[in-house]
Amino acid sequence: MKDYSLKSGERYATLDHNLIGGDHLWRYRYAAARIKQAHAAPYGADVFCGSGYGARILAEETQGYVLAIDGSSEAVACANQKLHHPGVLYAAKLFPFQLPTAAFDFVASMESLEHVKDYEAFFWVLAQSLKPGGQLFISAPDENTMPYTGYVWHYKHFTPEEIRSLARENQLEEVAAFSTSCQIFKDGKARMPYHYQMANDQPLAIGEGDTLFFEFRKPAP
Amino acid sequence: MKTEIYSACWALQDPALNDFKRFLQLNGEWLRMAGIIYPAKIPDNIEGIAVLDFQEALAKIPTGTPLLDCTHADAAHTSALMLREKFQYFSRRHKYPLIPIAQWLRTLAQDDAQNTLRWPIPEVSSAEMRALQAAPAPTLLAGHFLDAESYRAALALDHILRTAEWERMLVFDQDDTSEQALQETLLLVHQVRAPSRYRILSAPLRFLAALLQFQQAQQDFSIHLHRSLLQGIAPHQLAFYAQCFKGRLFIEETASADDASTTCLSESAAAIIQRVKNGQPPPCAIFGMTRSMLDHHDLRAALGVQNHRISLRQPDTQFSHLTASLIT
Repeated sequence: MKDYSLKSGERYATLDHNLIGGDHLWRYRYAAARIKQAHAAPYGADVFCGSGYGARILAEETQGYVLAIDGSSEAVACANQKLHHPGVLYAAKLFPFQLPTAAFDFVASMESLEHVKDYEAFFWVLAQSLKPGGQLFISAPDENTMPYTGYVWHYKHFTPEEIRSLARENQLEEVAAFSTSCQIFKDGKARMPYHYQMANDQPLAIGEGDTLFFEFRKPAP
Repeated sequence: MKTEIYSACWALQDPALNDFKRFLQLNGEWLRMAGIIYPAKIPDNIEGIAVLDFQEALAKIPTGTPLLDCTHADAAHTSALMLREKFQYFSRRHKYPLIPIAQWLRTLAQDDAQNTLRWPIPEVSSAEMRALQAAPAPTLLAGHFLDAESYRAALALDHILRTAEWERMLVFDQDDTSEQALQETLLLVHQVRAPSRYRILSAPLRFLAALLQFQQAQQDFSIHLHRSLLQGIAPHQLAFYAQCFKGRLFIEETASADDASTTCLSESAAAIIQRVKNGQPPPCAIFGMTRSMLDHHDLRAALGVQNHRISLRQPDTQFSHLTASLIT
């Protein structure tokens, strides 16, 4: 099993926004703004919520409810102890798990697909949990710009078309597609992590950054 | 016209320069980072800023131009030490003074007579930064601190702001949150005053959530807020809090009279300072010092010789998260 502990080195362990990459924060803020436009008092899920800062952003900015799930019981215990938003329920569970059908107005799942061996089943679980009209916000490393080379915490990186194909198979419509970046090219080819950039809290066109970010929607009948 | 500046290195590895980089962003109208110098040119640019190797730097940058020292903050890091030595040699040999960022920032604050610069501490002017540099540092007795931790926080924050050594904010990275700081402050005030009434002046959702958490331990209090604050609360949220507080949440058309058992809750210090200036200091208040020690200085100045105690909690690396209480 891969290491999903809070301080494995793969994830943000902090809850301090000053110490979290702008790209990560932007994705949650974008999702919150879009959810707020579509739903009043929405009920959603943040699947693979990590330290929990994103679930709090979603709940706070949408005035909604968030079921925040993470595979690390340590991360969930920490979030419960340190974040006191009454609209967020943190729960610890590694995939596989099932979510109720047509339950959520939105699902956010950032930096998640690459951690799941059976990513097709995972995507299906997320998609079927959306209500008609529900929104899915999902991000994953871009295989085209950051090819998978056996990175120890990941199973796979994705091309934009692979994620679009997953969405089509699950009857989701594409609403928007972006890229973000948390790395730089060291010598034109090799990438190195660089989280603390001045201006990576904004979207890039697909292919320009290292991480894909999609907004999908389940069509209303 | 923009002032062009150059940096020695760019400290990619850690967040120590976050506030400095934010400062550059905020003042993009006046300042431009024209080049990042490394011994070798790898890569061509970082964050859109041209990377210059030593030879290019010699060709492009006039001798005597200061280079901002943006090398890795971790002096124990061997590669960082080696890099710094290379820059020191380059600086000495070719007469480019290598100056610390903090020193450069202090000079900028001194020279900004028109107060045009924007600082990463919200709503703070260069004039206030200069005034802070000239003010005496806090002391345990004269500072009227409620406890030793408040004094330590004040001393550290005062030093960071006075010297512009913003990277030192990382000492506050202790995995705490502003929610925890608020809980701790509620408890501190409870131990001294045991308030029976809380009056929320702003940010109602933040304080309702905090009081909800706090009431698990202490149940004997009422909560009062003016009807105008309901604009920020969705009906389902209000219903939830009304249910949880079981008749102890009062929405008021006009503020009822506060007594000595009332604690005011405010997201910023401004409302509290204004009350003090109006000669109506709250008996007790818990509030955010969003302008960090600049708020502390304003509050102390407004209080003058009045008897009071102040607590401070800095939960993380963000200046605006300083949480305070005032007991008069």
